Amino acid sequence: MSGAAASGNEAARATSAGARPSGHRVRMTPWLIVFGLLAPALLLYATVYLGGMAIIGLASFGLGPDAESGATLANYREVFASAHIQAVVLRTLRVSAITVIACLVLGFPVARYITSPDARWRSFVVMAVLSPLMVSAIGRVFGWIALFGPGSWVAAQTMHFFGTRATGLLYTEAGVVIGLTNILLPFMVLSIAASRANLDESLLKAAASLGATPSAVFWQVELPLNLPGILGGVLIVFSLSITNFATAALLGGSGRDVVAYEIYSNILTYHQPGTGTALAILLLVCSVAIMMLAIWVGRRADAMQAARVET
Amino acid sequence: MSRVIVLFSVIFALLPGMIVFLASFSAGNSLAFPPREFTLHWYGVILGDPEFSSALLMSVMLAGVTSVVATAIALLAALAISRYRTPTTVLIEAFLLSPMVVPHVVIGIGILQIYIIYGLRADLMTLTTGHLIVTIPFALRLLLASIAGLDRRVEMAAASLGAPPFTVFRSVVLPQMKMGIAGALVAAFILSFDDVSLTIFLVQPGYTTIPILLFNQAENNPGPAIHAASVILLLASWIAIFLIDRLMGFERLAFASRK
Repeated sequence: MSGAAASGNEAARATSAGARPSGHRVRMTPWLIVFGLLAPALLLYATVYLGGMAIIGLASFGLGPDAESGATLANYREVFASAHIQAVVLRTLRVSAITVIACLVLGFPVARYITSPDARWRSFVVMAVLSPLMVSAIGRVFGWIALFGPGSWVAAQTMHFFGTRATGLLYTEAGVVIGLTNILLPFMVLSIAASRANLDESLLKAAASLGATPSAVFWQVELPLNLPGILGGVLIVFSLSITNFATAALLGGSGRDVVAYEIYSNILTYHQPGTGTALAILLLVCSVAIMMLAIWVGRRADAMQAARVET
Repeated sequence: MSRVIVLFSVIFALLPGMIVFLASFSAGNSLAFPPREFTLHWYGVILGDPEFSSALLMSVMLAGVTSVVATAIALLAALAISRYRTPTTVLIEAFLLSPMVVPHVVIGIGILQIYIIYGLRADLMTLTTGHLIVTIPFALRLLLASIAGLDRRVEMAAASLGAPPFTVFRSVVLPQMKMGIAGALVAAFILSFDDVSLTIFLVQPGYTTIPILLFNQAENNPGPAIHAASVILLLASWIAIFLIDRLMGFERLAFASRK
């Protein structure tokens, strides 16, 4: 498409340059270079990534290479009608909502600490709390399994205090929330810390000097100023939480599936690509919409910040 | 109160890794923590297990090839995107970064469907192709951040002194980007090395990676040897964090890889 146009352009330039007596070497048009540099990435993405998602989309409507009939909404109807899928979706939403709250409660003080000027243990806290971004999620899951599983100290304590079954927290929703909070906390911390980086500390001092109590400074000045970062973090953590596969599947155990695992088992275990692909498209739409909202919130906050600096 | 939560968060973040580490030396026969006696037995078991060692080899090869190819493709794209800012390249940048916001499970099924249609089976190449889609965005982010930090006047000076574009790239741009490229290589390696949610759709018997092996064993019946295997994954991650901290500062990577 544009490649053909670019090369046509290139030929035209080459002739005009050749006609010039200056003897300068023919220079390629930047567009040809730009597309040459982008070609490997675009080619790969177009074939595997876009192509794959297009096939999922078609399959979810009953279309595709080996489709028997025309487009149908039957798969989507089945997803919405199935009591089992409804339970899975509800469980996923509940677990994700609690995870978001847990990340917020833990993440806000951490973000505040690492952006405060007198944080003595700053680099250690950053390293420790943000390390889950890079440290193997699957490797850490076994830590929780050992801690929560039958025969563990935690299992004995939960048995002692709550009288629940000896499995402790393993294969409970509480266990899944703990596991998810552990991997997703860094995203909340990063989002809030980024918005605090351009927080004007003098506003807090001004509020305090005008007689506001520490709690009033926090609730009426500091928190509203951090709202974009908090909102961004909430959206990102929620989106990553509803799409999580391995941690939720391993800590939730069989019979306590989340949406991502339901998609996996529909496609690979039960060979029901119709429901699996329809659910995948729904999950895709939801998570991308939430992420877009998070990006929009971030941009708006930056724009507001820029406007404030200018005035 | 605030400080207490910070302390709690630090302990909470490090806890599961610590437990796996300690439990891997446990002499007991279950996955329970805390251990009562200590032994190196499980490391011997896991390293002597042919299924594990072939998965380890597969994981290392896959992550190695993925990180090099992803960084190379992302480097070319980053140069084009950063040096020719037009509405089209801005759109292409968003497109190339977009796998970051798409659930891995969805990317995985999509790639699986493509492979089924073309009759492709699991091997190093098909797994690498899948992993490229989820590692290129991170490599691209890091490389774009690295290019943004360069002083363009140096390039202009080189060009005005008669250096052709490729020479400017090779002897001016590339040396300045060394740290960013190394950071992208390490980040892509570890992302590929740890991936479960995409890889699980693409593996077949004989082409299993360590995380998939662990995932499948955990679903069935995890024995204590699994802790020793997990420690190997955790060690790889911590080495990566150490390297990245040396190369570009872990914090910079964290903020650059922010969604």
